[in-house]
Amino acid sequence: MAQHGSLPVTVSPGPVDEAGRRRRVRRTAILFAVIAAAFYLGFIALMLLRGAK
Amino acid sequence: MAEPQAHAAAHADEHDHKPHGWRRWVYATNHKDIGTMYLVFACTMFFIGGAMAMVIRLELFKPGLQFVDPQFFNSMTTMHALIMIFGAVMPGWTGLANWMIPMQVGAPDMALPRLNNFSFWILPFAFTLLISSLFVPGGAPAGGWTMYPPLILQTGASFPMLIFAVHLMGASSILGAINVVVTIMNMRAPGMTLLRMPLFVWSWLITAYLLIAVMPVLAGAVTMLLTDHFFGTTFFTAAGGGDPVMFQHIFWFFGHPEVYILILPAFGIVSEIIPTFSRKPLFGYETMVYAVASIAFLSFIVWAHHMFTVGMPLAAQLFFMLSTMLIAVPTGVKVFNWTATMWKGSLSFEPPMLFALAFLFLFTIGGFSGLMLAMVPADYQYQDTYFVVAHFHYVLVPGAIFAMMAGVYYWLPKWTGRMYDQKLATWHFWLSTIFVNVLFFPQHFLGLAGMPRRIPDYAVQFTDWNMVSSIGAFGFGLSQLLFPYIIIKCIRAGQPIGNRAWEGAHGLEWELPSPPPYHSWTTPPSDAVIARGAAH
Repeated sequence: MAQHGSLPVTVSPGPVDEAGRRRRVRRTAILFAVIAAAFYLGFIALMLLRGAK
Repeated sequence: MAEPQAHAAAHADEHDHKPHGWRRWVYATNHKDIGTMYLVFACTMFFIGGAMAMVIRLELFKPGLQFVDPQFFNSMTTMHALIMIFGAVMPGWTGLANWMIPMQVGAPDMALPRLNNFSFWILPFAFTLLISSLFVPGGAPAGGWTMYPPLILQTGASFPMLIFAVHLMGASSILGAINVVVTIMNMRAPGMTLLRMPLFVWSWLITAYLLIAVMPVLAGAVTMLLTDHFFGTTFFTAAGGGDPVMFQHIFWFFGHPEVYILILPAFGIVSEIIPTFSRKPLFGYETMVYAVASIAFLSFIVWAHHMFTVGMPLAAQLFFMLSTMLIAVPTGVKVFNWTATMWKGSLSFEPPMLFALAFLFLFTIGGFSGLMLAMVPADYQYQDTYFVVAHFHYVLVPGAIFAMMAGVYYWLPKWTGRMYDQKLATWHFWLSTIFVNVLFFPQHFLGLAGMPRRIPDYAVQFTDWNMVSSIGAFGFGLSQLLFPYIIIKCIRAGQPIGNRAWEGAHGLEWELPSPPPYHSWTTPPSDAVIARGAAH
């Protein structure tokens, strides 16, 4: 274990919920991709609606 | 060794097989390799965009047409802006984010390494496409980086190249931003709470939210330009019932947050450097976070200050004027906090601190001229003059670019394990700071005297200050050659240094060896170390 001064720099990894983290990563990435797509399509749709009036 | 540790160690060993040769870079998934590629790319684009600026200033050295024809001059202004904004500053920040965010939050890498590779490798294709438009019939786009219709619709064969390149740049930025958000939200070490994160990470988190919200808006706008040009739609064509001014609204709904995308990471870096070289904790850490968030929020409701002269109701003019002025409040909080951090500190003036201090003074000048431009009646006078050029160059050159250089000089010893030639870097600083003012300060006078922007020729009364400005440009351009030289010299022959390159530096990155291991925190940092690093 690396040391700096009197403090241990790293800690032993405890039981990590790797599957849970992967699920959270995937979910966050998809959420923000959907938000980005909504902004893209939303502005084009707004312009189409404005033109249709 | 306990079972989980043995497994973790074996896992780390397996992943520490650093690929060699071209495969290391083409198939890169390591955040440090990708960060390095982003930074090298940004530096290359900085010099290409800079060469275009030299052409502009050469032509403007004296009145009359000297070296280039007006069409090529307009291509130079358009390409210079696109390359500097999307090719130099944005990838530069993404490079720093890739290098530093995992190390600063205690993560082994970015959350989505393959996406990271993809978002980088889009960029060389985008800029090859854009730059190669110089060689097609009709030349490169010349309608300005803002791409206003109907002018931009007159672009020749390079029009679809411009639109596709902008789409690619946007896609790269969105993917990069998603990666940053996902990393910060999910990969922080246990104990690294949001309010323990370094300011650079905070500023990038907020920047990433801005990117995800506004880059698709730009993509939507240029898609509609494309369909107007090739598919007979009339979104922005008045003859078909469309509205060219609507393009300006949509563009600036992207464009103003984009200004903050370019500058917020600079705030983060300066907030890291000033405490280090003042040997004091940052004054008002939480207010700094709230100030960055407030600036980001306000950036969405000020867009029309870029277009006061198109004609809009008085109420709208008042709203956009006042909301713009409101941004001075959180910005003032930040400038106050940086100053208060230095107050009674044990200051030293190494190159990163010098660049950060220049940022503080010169960015503030850009901020003040921004306030002048926010006033509607005054803006009617300043609109489309060199005063605007002076304003945004003060924000972006001694603002964003100086902060990026400060960041590179701050973290270069960590990245390479070697100290650079500080004397030479100090020369780089003084030459840059003197010449950047010789270059841009006279442009305020030119603008106030009425010299319009985006012209290759001008009336003779503007000659003297244009000559001064051009001399400043040549000096600034030449002095930037020192920057890559200092970095290469550092990598080849710098003095080896320890973990903590700077005496007053705090943060997790300084707990790692210099240079850091291929994967940064394969085992998470301890809570005590996180608490020490987060001593704001």
